[in-house]
Amino acid sequence: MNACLPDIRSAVRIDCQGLGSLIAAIRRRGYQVIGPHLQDGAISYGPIQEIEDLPIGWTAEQGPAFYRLQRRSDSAMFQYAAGPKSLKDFIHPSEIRLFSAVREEGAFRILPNSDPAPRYAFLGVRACELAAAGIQDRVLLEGRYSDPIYRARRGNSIIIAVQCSAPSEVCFCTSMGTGPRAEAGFDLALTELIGPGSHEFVVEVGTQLGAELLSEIEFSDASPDLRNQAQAATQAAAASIQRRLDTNGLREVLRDNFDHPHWDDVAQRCLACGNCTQVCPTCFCVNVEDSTDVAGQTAERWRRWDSCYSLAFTYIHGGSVRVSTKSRYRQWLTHKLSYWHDQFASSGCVGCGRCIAWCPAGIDLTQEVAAIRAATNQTEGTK
Amino acid sequence: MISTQEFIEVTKDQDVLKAFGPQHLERLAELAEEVEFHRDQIIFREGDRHGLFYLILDGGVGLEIMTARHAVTLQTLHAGDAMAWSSLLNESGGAHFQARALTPTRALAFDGAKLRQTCDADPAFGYRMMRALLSLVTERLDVTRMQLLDMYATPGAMRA
Amino acid sequence: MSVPLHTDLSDPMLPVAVRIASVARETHDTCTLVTEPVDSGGLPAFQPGQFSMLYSYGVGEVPISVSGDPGVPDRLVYTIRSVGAVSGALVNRSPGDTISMRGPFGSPWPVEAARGRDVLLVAGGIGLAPLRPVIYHILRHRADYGRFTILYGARSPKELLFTKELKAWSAAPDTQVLTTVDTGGASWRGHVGVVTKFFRFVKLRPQQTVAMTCGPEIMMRFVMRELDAQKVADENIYLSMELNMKCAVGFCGHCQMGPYFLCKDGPVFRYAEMRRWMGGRHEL
Repeated sequence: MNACLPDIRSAVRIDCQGLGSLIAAIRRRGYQVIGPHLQDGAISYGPIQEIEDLPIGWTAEQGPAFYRLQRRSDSAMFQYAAGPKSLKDFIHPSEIRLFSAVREEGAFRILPNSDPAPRYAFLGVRACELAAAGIQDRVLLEGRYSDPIYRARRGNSIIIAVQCSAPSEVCFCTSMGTGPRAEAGFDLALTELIGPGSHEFVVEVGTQLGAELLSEIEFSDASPDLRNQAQAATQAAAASIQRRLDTNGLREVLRDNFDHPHWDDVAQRCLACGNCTQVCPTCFCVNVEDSTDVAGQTAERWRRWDSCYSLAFTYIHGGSVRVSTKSRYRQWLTHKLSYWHDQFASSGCVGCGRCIAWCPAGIDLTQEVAAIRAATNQTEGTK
Repeated sequence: MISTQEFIEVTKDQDVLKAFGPQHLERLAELAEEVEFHRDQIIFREGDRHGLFYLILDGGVGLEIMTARHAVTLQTLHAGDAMAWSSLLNESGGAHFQARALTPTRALAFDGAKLRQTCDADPAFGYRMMRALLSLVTERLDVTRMQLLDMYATPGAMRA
Repeated sequence: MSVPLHTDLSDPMLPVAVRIASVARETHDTCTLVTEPVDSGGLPAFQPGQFSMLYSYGVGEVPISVSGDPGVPDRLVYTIRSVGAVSGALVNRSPGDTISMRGPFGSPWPVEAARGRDVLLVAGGIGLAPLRPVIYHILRHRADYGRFTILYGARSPKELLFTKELKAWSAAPDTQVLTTVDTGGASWRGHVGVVTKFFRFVKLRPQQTVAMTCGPEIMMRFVMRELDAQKVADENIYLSMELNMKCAVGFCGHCQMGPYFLCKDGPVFRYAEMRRWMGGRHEL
């Protein structure tokens, strides 16, 4: 064990054993470690007890409507891009009880939830996911009201980021300015370096808590050469990203093309299944549902993820407002890339590409935007 | 007929006549009589061939239709509204509705047949007259459409 | 415009119980509930135009505008039209029953900004309820305002709200109340037709008029057209919007219309903000 505390913003080196010790150190502090593991044919986030739970030697190939696990020839742990789950699944859970109420002497009494918020340590978080959490912070914490569930879970959490060195075909974080390199928002950030006969991590220290965690495990100085290798890995990742979303004037392009014929084109393909909203790490919409037991003695209110693709989403006495698939796709994309700026002073998209990979129809928002842009420019050109 | 001066005086708030030139106003004055109705007075009944075209100056008139048992007000008309268009358009037609003064009401009554003859004889005047009529008809049609929407009844109708 | 917050900020989703002091039937489907505190804790003050989320035990929660007098403390009054399961359960409550509420939430009508000016209210159907606190406020401070005009349209005479009060309001100094219905029926001696027809003989002073309107969106669009023709500036026209609301604090995402969350940015908007999004520009 190192007696010294590494400086914040310094970088040190650990090996695989060190990573195992880090997981153990976090768990000793009473945190549940949530990291990548194999689940349902994907590399997903879930509980991690030890290093063997990580997807050692696995990666995944991704494309529009395409996700396949693949074996690697080495024992890398973090060489893949974002899977279907994100931090959202844990800090803004898909369903949670808001309160229960009991009937007493003709009236009823509201019982607030008293369960303490879980203490999560997230391992393997990518730059795009950190950006997404920052966006959700603005929605759920930093407005006039703040969501106590999100606040408790987010405030309690430890973030061990991983600098991305294996983006997939659907990634476009470079267009959104969110990655692949994480600069802040983490307690520790690992860069996995794997070569013939070597498997080690450069660890950047983001916070005091991160430094304290490192002080509990074996680490050594990261040589300048090793740090250069880590830098080069994310630089290579950035260079390898081919997909582009032209964000220049995008806010206005979408806002001003409400009646663009391309929306009809997308609506022909969109199934309105809502997958994109479920996997999107910034989509925050929820429904609030009330129920009672059969005897009417207890009632509960639950909050569940909702999707603007559902017909019921805009139901108001008399019917729904956004009836067509076209109107719902347009609402999702325009909200994400345009109205979000009005509401929360940034785009709602981090370029993780999940909505592209997990869309059963392979709808690719970068192409849809390009199509709207192209036709818009054409129209303007003929004026 | 009333004097042109008098006509201009009583119609000075009538937007529908704003586009009429002095000569045209003179023509209208020649065909106009000022009439008054007391509260509840039936001005004309459904089917009446009274031959008059009215422009309401003040007060209120209910356009009614008789059901088997009673009269139902379809719309209420006020200053600036015209009624009994049929007298202007169709020699043989009778009134489609019953008109009843809801309050003491003042109006200008025009001889429909003469007004039509004047329109035919002087297309410039006729064109002005028809434009004025069309704007009133359009407004009445808008009101009717809104009533048909029944927008207060069915919340869903607000998104029709 | 600053709005006081009374909901428990640590958990804006947690309702508090209130007791129903009285229930008044307004029409065949609409009731006015007067609510009072269950204990000595009191009830939050509200500003005209704000709404609460009313919870019927186990059935659900709906947004309902406060329709009472802002000058009367510790009473929150709601006029509720039965249009679904929750509103149906609420209108069937009896005095002494408990319901729960969160709020009041949302942006208010500009009663302070309108001080010293003429005020025009145009209401349609249940839309008179969210405007009633404005009427109470203005009549309570009558000398602070100029000409006061209330235009009100409803489906039929039996669906008119607050009929006794309408009569009383019209007797207030320099106050004109005009009511119209879409369908009159046999005994109705009043106006028949759309509320916008009143613009024909209501003489506005456009430079000094503040207009507030609440009703079906179609009606409000026609009102906007008339106000435009009368040269009332967009920034002096306010309207109250409605969409599906599930949380009232901007978390659930349901009530978005263009860039706005109707619950936290509204429900009262300036027409200048809303004009781009009205008339189905957010739908279909």
